[in-house]
Amino acid sequence: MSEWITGLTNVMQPGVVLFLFIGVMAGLIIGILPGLSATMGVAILTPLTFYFEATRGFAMLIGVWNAAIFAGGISAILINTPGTPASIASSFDGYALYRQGKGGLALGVNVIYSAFGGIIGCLVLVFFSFQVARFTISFGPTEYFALAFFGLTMMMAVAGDSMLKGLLSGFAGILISTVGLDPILSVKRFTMGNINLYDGVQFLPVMIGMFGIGEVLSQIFVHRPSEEAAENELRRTHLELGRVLPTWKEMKAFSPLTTIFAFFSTIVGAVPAAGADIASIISWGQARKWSKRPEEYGKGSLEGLAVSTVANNAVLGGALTTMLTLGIPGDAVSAVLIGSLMMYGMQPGPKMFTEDKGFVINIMLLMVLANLAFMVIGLITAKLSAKALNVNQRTVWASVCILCVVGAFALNSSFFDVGVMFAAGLVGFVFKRCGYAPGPFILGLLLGGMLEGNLRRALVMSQGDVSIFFTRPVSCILLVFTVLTFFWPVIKGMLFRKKRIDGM
Amino acid sequence: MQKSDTVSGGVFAAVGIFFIVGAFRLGVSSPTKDGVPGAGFFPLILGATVAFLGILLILKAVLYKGEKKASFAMDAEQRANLRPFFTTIAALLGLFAVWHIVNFEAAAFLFALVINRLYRRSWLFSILFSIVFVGIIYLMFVRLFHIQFEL
Repeated sequence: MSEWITGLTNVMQPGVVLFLFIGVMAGLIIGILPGLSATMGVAILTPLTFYFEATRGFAMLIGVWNAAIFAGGISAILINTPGTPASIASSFDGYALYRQGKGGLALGVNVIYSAFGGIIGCLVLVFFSFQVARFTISFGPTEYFALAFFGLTMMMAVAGDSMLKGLLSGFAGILISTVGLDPILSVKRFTMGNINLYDGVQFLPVMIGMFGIGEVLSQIFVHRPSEEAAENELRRTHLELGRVLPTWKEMKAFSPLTTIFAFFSTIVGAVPAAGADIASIISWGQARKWSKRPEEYGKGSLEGLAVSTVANNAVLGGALTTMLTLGIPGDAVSAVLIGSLMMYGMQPGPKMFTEDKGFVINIMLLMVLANLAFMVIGLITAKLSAKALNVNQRTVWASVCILCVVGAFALNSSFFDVGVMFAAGLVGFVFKRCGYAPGPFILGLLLGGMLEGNLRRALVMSQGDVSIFFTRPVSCILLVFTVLTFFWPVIKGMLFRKKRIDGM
Repeated sequence: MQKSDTVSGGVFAAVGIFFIVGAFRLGVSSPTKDGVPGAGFFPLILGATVAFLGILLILKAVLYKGEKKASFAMDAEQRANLRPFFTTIAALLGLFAVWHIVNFEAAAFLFALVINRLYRRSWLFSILFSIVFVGIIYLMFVRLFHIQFEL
């Protein structure tokens, strides 16, 4: 208990609270503007936080993350364009409510239920992560290899439209992670005589490039001035937003479904790579089946909006549980946070719960505070936030370009990192145009070292005998899950075919 | 399927083969008898996987009979985007080059000014944006965090 009180004292320091609020404000703007994702925001701001004390730096990043996910719902409601992928389901009912003159109420529901979902996710994080960490403390290289492999295949299973391209992207990421000094024998690999590559291809400049420059180039490429003009015109004609706060009666009516889907989404978030977009779409679809008024869903149902917004923020607690206890990213943002923790000299995983327990508690408390902070700011600025949508896209493009250069350089004061960032930006653009999701590539790059290091350490332990992965129960179960996930589309196809034949 | 799948599959296959060749040079098997595979072991497995998947994508694209989506297609309205697209890339390369000659703040100011003009923003907006934005970066990164943008 004393550790929690110390943690609370740490996070309530004026400096930490200030950075949290700065992060929330930044996240609010990033989330509102379509095209600026939470991942991009956290990736660009991460280099900045290295110059702060760890708790302050993390306060800012956690503020950005939580606020950007909730704020994505604002543009989903007001212009039918989700600010972040997590808010896709919010546009189903949110935009219809806005067209009915209930935009203010939709914005209020978005704030309140995002915070509610976020807090439920945090509670799960607080109550379960220590137990999970206690269980995983006995994990060795075999389990970590199996875990990293499982995380990777889960990512590929949800990687864009093409599984083959997702696999290619992910394996290419792992392949690039082999550049640099060999983790066991310290032999130079594929460095081509460049001293900057001895440490390997750094993950953060690649991330900044792919999600920053790559996204800007992609947006410029597909930009349609006529659509932009139509959206501006639409905003001008729908200025009335109405009341913001829902009534007690309305909130009471939503509470059973929102509570159920808050817990459900937290579990979804804990599954590596199953992100907020998936959780909110599944929750919205399932809630419609269970609702007393399913016919209203998609046509302006406040309940539908509440369920989808609960889901997008509840996921974060689950993703953080996986990240902190296993060192496996639950989504793209938690992948950046892993990189960030490593820069502070901490290694996410069960050992962090003993070696840096105080900091783990700080992160948990910051998550709760971030939800409360964005709820307060979100409600105060609900109507004002609509104005942020008027920012010209060209201003955003120019700003992101400069911030990407500054952020990539600030990581290590290295121009080489800027070059890597720029190259990754071009690759990110080509990936996007050719239908390759950048997510698996980033994940592969991040998990590659963990995969290889643990695979080879396990083989050392077993004197080269690969059966070690199947004789240890946890790694065996994880590998079975991995194979099932990998072949799930095939198995599903076979099962459906059998059902169809049986039914004939 | 996309029209570019054959080319992108080929690029992945080539990258995979490059790593396979490199992996053999590094040594795949254990240099000792303790079961540690060589430095080329992991790149070999992954290079082979990427090459295999790349070839699979090529075959899938060649055998696909339906309509393929063009990856870089633009309609008449979007064709006007080619200018800002290429000038953004050129401006970034220009920023990197100028950064080597003058200090970063001056290079970033020039970049911000040029890119805003290229995006057809007014002179007044471009100058104000460049001064304010670069000013904020200078205050935050140089004055507050003591980052020297010197090469």
